[in-house]
Amino acid sequence: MAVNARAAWMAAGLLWASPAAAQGDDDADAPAAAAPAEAPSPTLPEHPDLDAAKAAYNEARYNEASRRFLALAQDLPEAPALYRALARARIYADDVEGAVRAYRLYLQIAPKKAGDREKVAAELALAERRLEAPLPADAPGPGADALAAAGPRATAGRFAGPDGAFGAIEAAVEAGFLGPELARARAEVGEQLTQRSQALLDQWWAPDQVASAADLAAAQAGWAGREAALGKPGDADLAGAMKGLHQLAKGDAAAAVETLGKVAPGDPRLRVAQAIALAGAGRRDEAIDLLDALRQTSADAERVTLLWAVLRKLAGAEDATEALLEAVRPPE
Amino acid sequence: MHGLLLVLLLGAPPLVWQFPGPRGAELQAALIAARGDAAEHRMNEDELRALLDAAPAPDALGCLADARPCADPRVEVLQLMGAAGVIVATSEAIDGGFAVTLTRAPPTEGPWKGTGATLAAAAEDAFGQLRGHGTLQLTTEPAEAAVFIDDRRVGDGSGAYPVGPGGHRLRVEAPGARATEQPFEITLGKTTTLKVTLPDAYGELALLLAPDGARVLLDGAPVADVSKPIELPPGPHRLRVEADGHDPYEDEITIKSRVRLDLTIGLQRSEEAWKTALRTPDPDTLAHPYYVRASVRLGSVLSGDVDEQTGRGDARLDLESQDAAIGTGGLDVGVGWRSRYLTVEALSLGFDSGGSAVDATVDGVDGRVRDPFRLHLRPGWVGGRYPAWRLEPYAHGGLVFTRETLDARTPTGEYTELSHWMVLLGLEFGVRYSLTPDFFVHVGAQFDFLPGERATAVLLLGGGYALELPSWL
Repeated sequence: MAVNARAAWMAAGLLWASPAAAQGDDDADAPAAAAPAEAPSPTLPEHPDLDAAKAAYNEARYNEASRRFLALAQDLPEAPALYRALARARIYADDVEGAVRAYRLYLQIAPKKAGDREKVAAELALAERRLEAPLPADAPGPGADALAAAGPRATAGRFAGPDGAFGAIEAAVEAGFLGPELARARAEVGEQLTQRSQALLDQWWAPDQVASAADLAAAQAGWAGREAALGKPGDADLAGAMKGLHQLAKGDAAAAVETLGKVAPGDPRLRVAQAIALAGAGRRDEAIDLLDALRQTSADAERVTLLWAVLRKLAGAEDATEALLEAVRPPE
Repeated sequence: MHGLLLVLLLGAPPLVWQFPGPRGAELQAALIAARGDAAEHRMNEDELRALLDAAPAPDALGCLADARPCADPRVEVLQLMGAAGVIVATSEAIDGGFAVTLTRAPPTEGPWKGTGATLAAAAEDAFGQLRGHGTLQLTTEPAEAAVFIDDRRVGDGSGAYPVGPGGHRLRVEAPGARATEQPFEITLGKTTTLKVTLPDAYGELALLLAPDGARVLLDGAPVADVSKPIELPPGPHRLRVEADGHDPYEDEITIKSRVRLDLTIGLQRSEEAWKTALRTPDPDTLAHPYYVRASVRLGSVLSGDVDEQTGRGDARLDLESQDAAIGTGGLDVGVGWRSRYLTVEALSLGFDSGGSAVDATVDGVDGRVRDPFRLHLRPGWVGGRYPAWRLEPYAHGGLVFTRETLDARTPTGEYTELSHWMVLLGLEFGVRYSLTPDFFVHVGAQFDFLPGERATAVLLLGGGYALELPSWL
């Protein structure tokens, strides 16, 4: 029985040598009474590490294949074929419980009319029979607790570090969490980071609110944590804005000039921040010129004009008094 | 200026005022009138400009750089420039008048609301709410006097008047009485008590002066403007009118309440200084009427016929003429009395003595005469004088009783002493100079003459002492 089963897995595993052939094999193993509306089976997504994972599987290095497919499934948690491949690699690696979890995830997210559902269900049933104790369908997988902490942490504005939202996602991944919740958590935390950063930018701009250096530091670290957790950069303008505003808030004007000069050229708020950084760095004339240009274009020209006039006073301009007089005059 | 931010500075931290909405300009004017000397409230653009101009460059950008929150960046900028904040003044029409609301930004206190029958009254009420009130407890005499505080009529007669803190001016007016004005201070929450009794209404002095530009002093104080009637309290006053090159006019005038006294005064042009001096004797010249004097006499007995005979034994020596003048010297003393223009030298006594011998005709032949000696007495000479400054020109004259003695050489060559009495006419003129009220010096010329007699001409140099007669005289 075991030999036959293994032979069956092997046959399935060979499918990865040629996706087209695999599809044909699936078709061959499919029940004769398959519905004519049956959808094709999900295929493996493109990924740079995919070939290495398949090679490990085809060369019967199942432990390595399990690790590689696990990493791929965590990286692309909404690709069902990766769960199917992971499940089969785990079967051969004798990680039956892990295989059951992966089969269940495949069946959970694969299209309802996917062509290999019955076959995979049969493989799942076979694997479940090998379990010493039944595995409840709602049994939390490894890392579920860690992942559950990500959302609240993001809501609280904690994104980076071991105690941050991205830290929770990383902990879940390291614990071996599997499932589309991972994608949703990443999206949710990423969105929260975006919203939080935009809110901080709004706070920085709003006269009646202050974006604290601590909050800006947390947001800046959040973007760094996001890149570390996801392996790719996020919104460069927002990330740069948080970094530049944080540098400005902690008094590092020269660094803020460098940072803010590269981000969001169309955002007048960041141009004002850049002007403040220029003034703080002793480049007052450049700041005045930048604000002078903004006065002509910015929607909030009054605020720009106020800052422009104050900087002219700081610069000791002869017409500073008249500029201030004009700036503080309320609109009719 | 409507809707303009205005600034208050100085003293307490300045505040910027804003007058948006309808009646903004009118409300601004009313509040400027109501603020009085509250220097920290600046309510026009010039004051705002002065604040911004004088403000040092800020060392931070406040909410402009997100260093702190603020409700209004404009207020923030004004705070960066040293203002404490902004006060927004608005008004609305209500039943029976107006309501004015003052709102502070940042809202550390207030808002303040005032009402009144007029916008000005409502503005003052609101400003009073903002600053707080003290009380002026005023008593007036007469009771119906009109009361003005800072040029605004606040009521009639005695009473308690609410007034904002700070310095103010009180003016009280009443018909038939003299209006008074005085400063007073009000402390927040305190009562200042004043009693004002109005004096009788003043009279007026209207002057028409010549020349133009004449200066007027009333009771010793110069009057700045004489083109309009001068208000004066009833009673006597000392009026003096002066002008360069003119004699001053000075007199006492009496002013009556509510009566105008019109005076036309033309000053006479002053004499030139030397004329005045010439006409004006120095008091020293008139100090004492009596005097005694002494003179050195330098002169000569002039030539002329002599009707001189003297006995020489039984013979008589006949001196017919003195053919040349003989120089003489001598002394005399005198006492006299003088008024301003009249002088009477009561008595003088002196002598002249000559030494040189000159030719003469003696007994019909050539001879010589020498050593003439004349003793003379001048009683009751009368004349006049003209004191001017310290100088005193004078002239007087009278009879001279002279006893002459001389030596004549006879044809035998002997000198024989001749002597005889003469009554001559004398005339003296000269000038005295008063050194002090008591002492004077003089120089003069004296001539004694009579037809048929030799005349004498003498230069007098001397001095005198002026005095009052002792009381027992």
